[in-house]
Amino acid sequence: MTHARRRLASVVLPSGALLVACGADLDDRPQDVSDFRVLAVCADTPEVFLQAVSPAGPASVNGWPYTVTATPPPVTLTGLVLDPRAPAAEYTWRARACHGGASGLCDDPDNGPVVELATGRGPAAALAVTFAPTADQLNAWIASRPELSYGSLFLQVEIDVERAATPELPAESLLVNKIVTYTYPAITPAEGQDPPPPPLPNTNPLGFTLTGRDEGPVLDGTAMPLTVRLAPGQRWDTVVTLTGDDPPYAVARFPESRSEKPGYEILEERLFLTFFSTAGEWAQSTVTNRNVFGEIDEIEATYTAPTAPADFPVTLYFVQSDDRGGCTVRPATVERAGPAP
Amino acid sequence: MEAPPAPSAAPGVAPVVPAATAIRGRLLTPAGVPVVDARVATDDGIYETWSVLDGSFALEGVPPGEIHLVVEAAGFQPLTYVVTLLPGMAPELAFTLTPDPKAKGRGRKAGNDGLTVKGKRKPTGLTRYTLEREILRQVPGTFGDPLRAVQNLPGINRAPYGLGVLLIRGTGPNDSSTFIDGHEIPLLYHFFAGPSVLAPDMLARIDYLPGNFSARYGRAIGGVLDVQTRRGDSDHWTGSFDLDFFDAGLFAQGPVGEDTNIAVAGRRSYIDAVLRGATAAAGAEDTALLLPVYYDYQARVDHRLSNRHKLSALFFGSEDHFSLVGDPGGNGPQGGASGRLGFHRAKFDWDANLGGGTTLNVSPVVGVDVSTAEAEDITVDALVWEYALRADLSLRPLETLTLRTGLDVLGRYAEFSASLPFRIPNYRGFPGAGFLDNEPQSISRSLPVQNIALYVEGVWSPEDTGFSLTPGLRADTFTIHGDPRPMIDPRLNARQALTDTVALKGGIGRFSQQPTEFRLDDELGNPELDPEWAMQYALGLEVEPEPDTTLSAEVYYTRRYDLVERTDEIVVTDAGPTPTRFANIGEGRSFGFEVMLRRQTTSRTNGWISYSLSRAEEKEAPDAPWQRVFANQTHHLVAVWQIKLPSNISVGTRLQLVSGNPVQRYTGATYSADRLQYEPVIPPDDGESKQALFHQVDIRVDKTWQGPVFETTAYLDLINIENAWNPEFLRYDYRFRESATVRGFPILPSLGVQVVLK
Repeated sequence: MTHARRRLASVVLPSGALLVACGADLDDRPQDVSDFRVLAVCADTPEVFLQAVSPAGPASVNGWPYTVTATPPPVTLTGLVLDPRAPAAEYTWRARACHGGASGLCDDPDNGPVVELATGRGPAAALAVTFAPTADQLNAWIASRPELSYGSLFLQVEIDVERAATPELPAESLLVNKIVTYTYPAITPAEGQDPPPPPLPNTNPLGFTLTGRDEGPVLDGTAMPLTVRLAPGQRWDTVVTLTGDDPPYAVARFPESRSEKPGYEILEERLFLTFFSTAGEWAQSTVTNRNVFGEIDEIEATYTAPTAPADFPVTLYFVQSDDRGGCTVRPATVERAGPAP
Repeated sequence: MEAPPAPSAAPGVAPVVPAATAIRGRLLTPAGVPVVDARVATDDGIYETWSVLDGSFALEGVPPGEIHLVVEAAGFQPLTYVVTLLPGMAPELAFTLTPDPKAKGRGRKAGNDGLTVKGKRKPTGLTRYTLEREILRQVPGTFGDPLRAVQNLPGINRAPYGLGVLLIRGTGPNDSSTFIDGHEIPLLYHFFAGPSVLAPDMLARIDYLPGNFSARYGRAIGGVLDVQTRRGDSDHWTGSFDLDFFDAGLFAQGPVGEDTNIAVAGRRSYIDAVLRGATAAAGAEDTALLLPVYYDYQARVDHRLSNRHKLSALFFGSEDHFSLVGDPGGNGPQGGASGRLGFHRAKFDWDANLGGGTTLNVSPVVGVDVSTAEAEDITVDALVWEYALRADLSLRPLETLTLRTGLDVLGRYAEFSASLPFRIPNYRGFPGAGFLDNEPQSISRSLPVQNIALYVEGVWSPEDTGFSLTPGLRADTFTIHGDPRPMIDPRLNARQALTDTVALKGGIGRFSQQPTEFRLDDELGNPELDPEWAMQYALGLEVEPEPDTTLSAEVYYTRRYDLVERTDEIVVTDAGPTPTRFANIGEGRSFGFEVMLRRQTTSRTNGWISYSLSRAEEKEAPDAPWQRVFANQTHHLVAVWQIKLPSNISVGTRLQLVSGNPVQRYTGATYSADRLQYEPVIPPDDGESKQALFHQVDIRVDKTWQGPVFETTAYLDLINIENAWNPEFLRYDYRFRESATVRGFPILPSLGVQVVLK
């Protein structure tokens, strides 16, 4: 956003936002899944630690830029892809990797070399890609955007997913981006600073429970299979519990002023739970355990089952994620109970 | 020089003419040709003005009593003329000047700047559009707020929803400056979009300079808006009371003793009470409400020390408060939220007539800007102490040369402290992750910045040539952490009268401004930033086809460079790898054509047509593509017409036709599996698109009732009377497949009443 645009936007947008509610009727319900969608792509593991050296010495990443000295372990990415209109549809995919850069597009020549990863074909459940960059490839990406590779290298895996045409539906495609983080784990404390916590790579979070109010059903995200019984049209008011976050972690930070040395920052994860359903209605698409005003005392989510008995069973999808690339997918089934109370 | 038969008596006699605080008139040669650029002043030099293209002049703010007028024009015999002003209507005088047989030429026919100039004039630049208070108050679509009328002048882009931001020739709001009596103010409108921070009755006039302005002004690469306040009535106390949907205001002015006049005004909104009452009446007391409150005040004292010396003081300020009450749905701040945005100033002036055409104005200012916000544990407090000093000296060493020089000091000491639930982003975090933190982070900053400028400007007007040349030089610095950054701005304006009614004008100049304080911060910005610059070029024509009709046309080109933009660059300093954050890497360009036709056929009618053709683009890095500036409209046409009808009714209408704003068009979306949301794809051609034509008609009707003591005026201002469906923003569905425009204001009425104590 340019000079004049940004300055005006800082004034206009808050005012304009007040009036957006008066706008036209557009589809603002990403939680309703009725056609071709890619709901999630999760990486195992979402973060990989690198062996690297820096001008400041082999044990420090506070120097810059870095040189990777060993090939890291591979990362596997799996996708949640579906089209409720064509459950048996075949999908094709093509994956490639690049430095995400500022634009987040592999076609952007500023984002360094593009590495083709894999192509595949099969049912939706088969979408999986293995990403195993070499040390040389990682060093090429660091060299392409060194200014964005301080502390961590954020690589983007771009997956072009296409649902093949069916007798009723034309082919449809979607480009999906997933970031895999490569971190240089050694961080040198600044003078007078406590040592950082032991390096632990990010893990995918899993730990959510939806507890129905007024003795409604309880859904434990760690149990399998997940099943909820609701009557047609029944409203399920729940309180959401989110657990499964990693311990506080350290990131390399720049000097706080030009007279201080670099150090590290201790951060805590923020967790999200995103809802999808093939029928019925989630009142919200995403909840979080923290907003700008701090911890949320009681996270609420409401699902209303479809009124038509023919819409049962319903599939719900829960995507639990954190704010550094971790995610886990859990499907659940809503079975029809008795008539609506 | 001699006075015409009517309405005055012979020169040297003291006729009694009804007057209040102004003397208006016209200067003609014996052949009936208007005399331009003649100086009309009181003999003490405190009040002065110059005649314009049609030979007219207006001397505002003159106190009632016996006034000794001095009229001087190159090539004509000087005249002293005595007039006694009494309360009542302002006199309209006409003078026929007698050619001076010793002089080689006669008065010029074109002024050295400005087409619609009325009142006390300083050299301000190549083009100046001046609107007087009596016209400003009744412009339709402004709710009686004079400062909103400025948005109808050439070169100003239409801001969405009538936001009161100055978007001059494609520049951003921070690139142009607003002054009150020559001193910059931080905010012109309450809550950015509300009424202006100055009571309408306190205004004398507004000067709008879209570019190539005088070296007297600086620290802006766009344009300038200079608002002049009025002095209090010297004869007797008068006042007024205003009331409309949003606020109520009081104004009073009058003499205190023989040599002192006072004018005071204040205004307070009551939208908060209306909203509370409405929700209570609807039985919805628990509804979340955003309650705005604004008020402003002005007090001006003028004291005449002697015939040659005058002191004045102006105290003014503005406060905007808001509070969020009620339960906003569980995700908002428990216990509500509140905020405040205000500024206060005390300004003092010493005006001295040192004789021989030399005048001096010294004007110090002290003030403070306050911004606060609070919601649960989140607090933001920003305090900016400001001091300023202007000293302007004007001298006339030669008949053909006027020199003006001055000192312009502005110091700001900003203190910022906050408790925020996020960290200063001093690391490369996961893309798009934000910086929320459990524990509020305390942030504290202080930043002193000082600007010191010297300027000099000459107006050289060789006799009998119709030519004037105005070279100027402004040497400015901004100093941060003891490190001064120079800004040397040379400027040159020229004007040539081609005939009695046509003048050609042109200008070239460099303009500069310091980056905003936030971007100079050691930790959040880059303290090594340099100034931002602009080169402005303009060429124009001024025509007066009839005595009461003026036409001004101008083409311009502006190149802006070293604009501050965000960057990801890292530099290695002694401290280690350090993010640059901001750098002088942006560039901008604007070009266009502007024309304004203004006609004041009689005192009963007034109107103008303003048309701007423009294109403004910017790029955020040298290798980045050019992008249209937001709210830069190709065509902008405004027509304003007001007429006074019998029975003390006046009607005005305003038509606005504007090209649609540039909008970003997308060709689809990708899906971020990390943020679990779709992100738009910009097409290879940058996806620039344009909204539909904006068209709006406003109508205003005023009705006045005269009473023995009071004069009461009621008005109805109807905005968008045709209820046109005008687009303001483009909104997309969550997959960026479909879009819809968000409309502007529907038909919007406003009713107001003003009661004036005669």
